[in-house]
Parts: sequence; structure tokens; C-alpha cells
Amino acid sequence: MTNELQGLLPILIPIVVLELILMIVALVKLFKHPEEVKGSMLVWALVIVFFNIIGPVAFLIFGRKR
Amino acid sequence: MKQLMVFIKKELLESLRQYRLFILLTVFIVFGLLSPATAKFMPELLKTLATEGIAITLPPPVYLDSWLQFFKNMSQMGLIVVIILYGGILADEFNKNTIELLRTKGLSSFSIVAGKFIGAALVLGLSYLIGFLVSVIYAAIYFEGALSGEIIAGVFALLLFYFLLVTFFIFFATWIRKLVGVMLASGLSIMLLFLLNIKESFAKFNPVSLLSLGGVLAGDSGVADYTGAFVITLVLIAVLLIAGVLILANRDL
Repeated sequence: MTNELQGLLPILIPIVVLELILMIVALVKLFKHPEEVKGSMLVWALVIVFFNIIGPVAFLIFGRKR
Repeated sequence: MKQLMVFIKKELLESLRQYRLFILLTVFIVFGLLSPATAKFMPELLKTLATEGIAITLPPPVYLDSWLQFFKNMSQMGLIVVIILYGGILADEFNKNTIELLRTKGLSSFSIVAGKFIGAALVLGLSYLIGFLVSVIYAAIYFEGALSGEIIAGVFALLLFYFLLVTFFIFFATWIRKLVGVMLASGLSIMLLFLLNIKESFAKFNPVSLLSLGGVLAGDSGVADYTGAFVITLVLIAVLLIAGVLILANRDL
């Protein structure tokens, strides 16, 4: 199993990095401009942190007042 | 022409501000990474699922499998992302009345329609291309094989289909204006195209065939048989955009 995991590393690392970037951008947006947020900030924060990729994307698209 | 350039610039800026480019880039790069990985490790994953008494035998994955995964991701999740990001590309502007403001200042309907389309095509095309390149690199790392013209044709067929979708969103917005109506009309149009596929001889000329070209690659028939679908899609995009310009030009503010 460890061998297989090692084979996956070159792909896993960039994916994790991308997920983190997405999460951080969404969180920064969430906390920097609370007045633009639609709905509960706490719920959005949880969604952003716990739903990989989909959470931050959902927040960036639907979570803000235009 | 200068007007058009300014409007395209505004569109590109908007793509940055609304995180469209950022989201598309991330999602497409993740698909580009994930596709070779799933193709490579799917058999091993299934093996761990197999319990005693069930034997799962799969042929070892090959280069093409990586691309079949890529097509599957891009034609399902990728399509959803494009619909969500671009569904309101013009309808939102009608909704907020921002486009009326520009029109009263003399922005031509040609600039609006062409600018919207070119702006979207640039952003979509760039993100898709980068996702594709990432997938090329990782497919080369995990598999032995080379990119064939057929794979490239399949990859760009999908991009062309994305463009067709964006064209639908723009065209129907000039006509219906409300977002719900635009989505409904676009959905119905796609459904209608799928219905046309019931008659098998239509499939080779049908724009929706571009969506399943990845599956064609795995079969016997070649992509070259589907040249008609490429041409018709291009013509459809041009016709709808021109119709959009005319409809918009003939409407009151």
C-alpha cells in the first residue's frame, strides 16, 4: 500500500496544494468582506473547509451578493 | 472595433473579479491531474474492494484510458461548472440593467454579443488548454504512449461544445432576457439535439456528438467520421451569434 501511495505522490501533492489555495482564497474573501456574504458566515466557513473544491467554488459563485 | 476591444477587456476583467478564471483554472487543472491518476489506480482500488469469492480482473490500464477519464470528467463535471459559471453571462446583465446603461452610451449590439462570446471563449479556452497540458504531462509520466491526432480532436471537440453552450446562453439572453428562461431554453435545445440522435444517421452531424467523442475513440469508428458535427457546430455558433446581434439591435432599450 505504501508503494502505491508513493506512486501517487506526484499527483496528490499538486491536488492538495490546489485545494488549499482555493480554500484560502475563499476564506480570505469570506472574512475580509463579511457584508458581501449571503447567509450565515459560520455555515459558509464550514462548507469551505469541509467540502473539498466544491465548497470554496460554491461560496465564490453563490455565496456573495453581487 | 475599438469599442469591441474595450468591451472584451471589460469582460476579461470581470472574469478575474468574479473568480471565473480562477475557478475554471483550478477545476480544469484538478481534472487534468485526476484523470491519469484514476485511470492508473482504478484497478488497484477495485482490487482492495474485492472480498473473498469475488474476483475482479481488469486489463492493465493503457494510455487511452487516461484520456477516457479526462473526457468523462470534462463532459460531466466540467460541463456543470461551465453551465453554472456562464449561464448568466448576458442574462445577469439584463437583470441588473448594467447592459442598458452601456447601450444608452452607444455600445453596439455587435460589440455586446461578440465581446461576450470572445471574452468567454478566451477564458474558457485558456483554462481548458492548461488543464489539457497538465493531463498530457501526467499521462506521459504514468503511461507509455503518445498523443494521437484523434485524442486531440476529441479534446477540442469538448471545448467546441462548451463554446456552443456559451453561444446558447448569449443567444437566448438577447431574446428571453430572464435567467430562468435562458437556462430552460438552452436545456431544451440540448435535449432536442439529443433527441435527434435517435436517428442514427444524424449522429455524425449532431453537435451533441462532440460530447461523446471520447467514447468514439474507444470504439472502432474514427473521429474523422464526425467532421460533419464539427462543421455544423461551428456554423450553428456563427448563426446564433449573428441572430443574437440582430435581435438585440432591433429591441428597444
